[in-house]
Amino acid sequence: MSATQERPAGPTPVEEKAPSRLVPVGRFVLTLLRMPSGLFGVVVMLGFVVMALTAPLYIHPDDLSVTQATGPLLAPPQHGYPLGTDPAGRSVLLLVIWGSRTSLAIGVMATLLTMVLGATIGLVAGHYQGRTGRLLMHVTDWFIALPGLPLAIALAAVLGQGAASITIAIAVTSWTGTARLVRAQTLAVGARPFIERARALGATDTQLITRQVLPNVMPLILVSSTLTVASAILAEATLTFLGLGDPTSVSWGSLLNNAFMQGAVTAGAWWYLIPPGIAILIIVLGFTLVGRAVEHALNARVQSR
Amino acid sequence: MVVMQVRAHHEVDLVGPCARGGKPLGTGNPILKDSRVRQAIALGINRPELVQKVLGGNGIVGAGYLPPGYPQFFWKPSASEALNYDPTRAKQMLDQAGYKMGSNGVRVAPDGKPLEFRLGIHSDDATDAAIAPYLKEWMSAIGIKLDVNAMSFDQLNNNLAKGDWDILMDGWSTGPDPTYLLSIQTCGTLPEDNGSNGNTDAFFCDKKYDKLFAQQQTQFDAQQRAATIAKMQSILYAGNADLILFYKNGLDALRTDQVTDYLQGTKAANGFYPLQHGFTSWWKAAPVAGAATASEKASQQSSDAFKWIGLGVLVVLVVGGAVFLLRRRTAAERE
Amino acid sequence: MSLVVQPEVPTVSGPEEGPERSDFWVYLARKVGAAIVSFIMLLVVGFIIFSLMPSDPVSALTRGRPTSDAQMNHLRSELGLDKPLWERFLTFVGHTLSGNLGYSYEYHQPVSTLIADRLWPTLLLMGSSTLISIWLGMWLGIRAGWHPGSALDRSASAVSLALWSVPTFWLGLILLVVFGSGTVAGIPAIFPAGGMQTHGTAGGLALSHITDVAWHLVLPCLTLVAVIFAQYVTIMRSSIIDERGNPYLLTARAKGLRDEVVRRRHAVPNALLPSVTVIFLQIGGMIGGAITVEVVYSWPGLGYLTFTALRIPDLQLLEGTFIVFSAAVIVCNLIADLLYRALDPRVRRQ
Repeated sequence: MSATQERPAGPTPVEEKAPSRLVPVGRFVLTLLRMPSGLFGVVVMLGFVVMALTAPLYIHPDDLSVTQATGPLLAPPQHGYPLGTDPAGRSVLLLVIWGSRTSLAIGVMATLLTMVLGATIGLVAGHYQGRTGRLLMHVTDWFIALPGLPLAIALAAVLGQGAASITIAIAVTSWTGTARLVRAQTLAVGARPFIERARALGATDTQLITRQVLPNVMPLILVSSTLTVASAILAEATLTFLGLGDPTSVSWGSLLNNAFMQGAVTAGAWWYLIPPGIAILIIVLGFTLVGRAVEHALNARVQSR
Repeated sequence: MVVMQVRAHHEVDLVGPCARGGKPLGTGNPILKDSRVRQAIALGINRPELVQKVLGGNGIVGAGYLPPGYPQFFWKPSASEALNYDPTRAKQMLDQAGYKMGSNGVRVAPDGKPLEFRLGIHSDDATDAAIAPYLKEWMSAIGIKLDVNAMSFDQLNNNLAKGDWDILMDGWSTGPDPTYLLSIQTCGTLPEDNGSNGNTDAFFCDKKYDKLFAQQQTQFDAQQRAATIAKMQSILYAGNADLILFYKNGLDALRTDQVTDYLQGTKAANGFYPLQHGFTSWWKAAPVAGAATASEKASQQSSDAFKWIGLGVLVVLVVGGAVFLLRRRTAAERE
Repeated sequence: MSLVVQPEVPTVSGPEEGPERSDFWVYLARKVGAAIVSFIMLLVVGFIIFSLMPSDPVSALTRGRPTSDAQMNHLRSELGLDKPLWERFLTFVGHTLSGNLGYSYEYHQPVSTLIADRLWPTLLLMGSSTLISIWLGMWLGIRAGWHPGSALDRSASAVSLALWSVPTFWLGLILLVVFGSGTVAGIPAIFPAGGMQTHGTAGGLALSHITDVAWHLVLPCLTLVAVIFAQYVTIMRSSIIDERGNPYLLTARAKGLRDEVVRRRHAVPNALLPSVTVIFLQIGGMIGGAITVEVVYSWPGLGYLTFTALRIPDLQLLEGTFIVFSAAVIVCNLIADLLYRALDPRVRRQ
């Protein structure tokens, strides 16, 4: 994942005003959509979000109920059950659609947490370049050395099962990437003349960070966050598969966990195993492509200045 | 080759906990002290469906406290005593007892408290996790709300000992003599006032049960003893402190080319121990001649082999790396 | 790999004075010192995480047995649980450094014994997967990067992206159900459904044993390779693309060398430099993949041990495996740093 490179502003005939905080949205979105991968990514992303949000409209609680399920137990795809049934007789298709809600929710929450944590540390480390900055960078570098999954397992084991502990575990293992990116960007922005001018005018550090640096770092944070959602969804699936999630909620990871624990593999129930994974694959692809396309489009914007 | 055994029963523990001296313990919901509520819960559980869907048919529907693997002690309730799946009757019972249905689908006690109970399950037990949604849905169908809490084995036992629970999943297995299993339900297993030194699982305490327990320990005549134990199980069944969901079949697999004389039980055995499981199956077992030492040597050789292979790979890497680096130094001359 | 791991590409260090040999020792000392500091921080974090756990080892030990309060307090002081926190930490550090990683109450064995038993299978799995991934990733990455934009390049990128987006364990499950269960689309069960060896086969270096283990190794290795090699393709590809822009390659072509020779003898060795170090840095990410693959295939390694420890949870064992994994990553990062300096003359002479 490459950082967006900002070229230092060259001398301009007119007094350089602070960079506009409003990205020319129209042009940006058009650039994004002109790339086929970007278009595909946006369509997928929006498609899944819409599907997740509208699911309660067409999925009746009875479809998800184990006691009201009327389908054959663990049966292959057939009429009325396009993706077959699970061991309780529920339609796998409806379960996968319903599972997107939890998976997306945890993915987004974990990303938010990661972004807040990583961006804060990155901003502080990049802005205060003395001992504080160096110390924070050492801490970040050291954190990178910790292997992700064992740390997440340790945290989730201590915090107990459930969505909250998974979210925290993902955030704790993923913030370092964002922190480094934001720090690099903060350093680049900090070298620009308007920062010096603002400081001369008497702006405090907090004001500098929130009003001058942060808006310039925002686009980078956006890019980073779409890519982080992708890896957060993968991480949620893995941690839930290992049994760290809430056993009563339906998510893609829990579907795969149930399939594994209840012997779908030896029963050859491929219809129970394939769809959740395909769903994860498509949505992670979508978010990754969008992230890369946004990065491209931002680069195009920078170069066109 | 597979040996099928019946050995464990799954039960649901209920009731307000208290210490040996009668001091109430823990945070258990007092509504569960009402036996009508417990009876309604029992009526609201469809045990045959659990056996079919959760166990895949690999079990027997729960009835008495002791498993059917020991037919001389197995007890089934009579038709009038039985609490089979009947949600209509459960709802009637709760209505008559004064627990009116609230606006959000949860019944409310006369004092205003909702019928909301915590259900504790083992976080490392796939069967518990599979059963939980069924219980939750059946209970909400009769107006009771269950909050499922997954806990580690340690945590669950800690909470059990302190009485900090409403409904818990638990399971036991027993040998041919049921005394230990029956003792768990006596008053003597209640903890001391500070919650320690208890061995109970549902804080059940009934004087009549205790008297019968002492009696069965002294009876040598098999049929008399069985009759006493039957009465004890009838008391437990009516008490609804432990709801026996099912008896899960334990499955063992065995390689007959490696082991001989493994004892399997037979249902119609004339002897006292018709069911063999655990260490009793291995009582007379012996390895097939030559098999044991071979596999021991094999595993020792395996770990030795791995060490040699690992060492070899390391040597190759080091030598290869050294050769590679030396060649690089002279690469310019060879260009 | 599902959890985000940012490879830390070592930056080229500043000018160093003095003859090259003493430079090397200074560099080594600095890096080893940093590694030791990392290890100490690791112990601190490990201790903190696992002392947060609300469970009481004494009650776990005495479960189901009538124990008086006095006996429990005696056990507590025996296990050193009543000492102040800093003293417990020092004991913990001392034990860890001497190889005593605690005692597993579930398995009734010392943790270090359990870990030592499972170490070789994990090394076998990770080692073979790494070697194959490196070879495959480099082969594909070099060719894709040499002709950027070509059909090979685009399909390699697409496949890499797709494989990165797939959860490792899911790929393992699919391979297992298709090739190991014999119940899908009439495909027979070519590979075993899990484990590392068939019980009862001869042990040691017997050919039958080696082929048996290799047969069990195919699917887990394939799964890990599929997910990892994509990263090496990407790294190698971007390295080669960077190298292509260098003028010395023009010289090589002007000398009359064939395209293939230019690529193989001039571009690749230089492009290899960052790749080699990144390989070691990716070990941390690979550990996560190895854990999930071992779980899916019941491969009796450290990952499977972590998984079984997690379900109970057996905290001493979890702590032990956490420390072992993290220490391995620290060592690999150290090796990466040293290798980078050894291989790249530009870092040495500044």
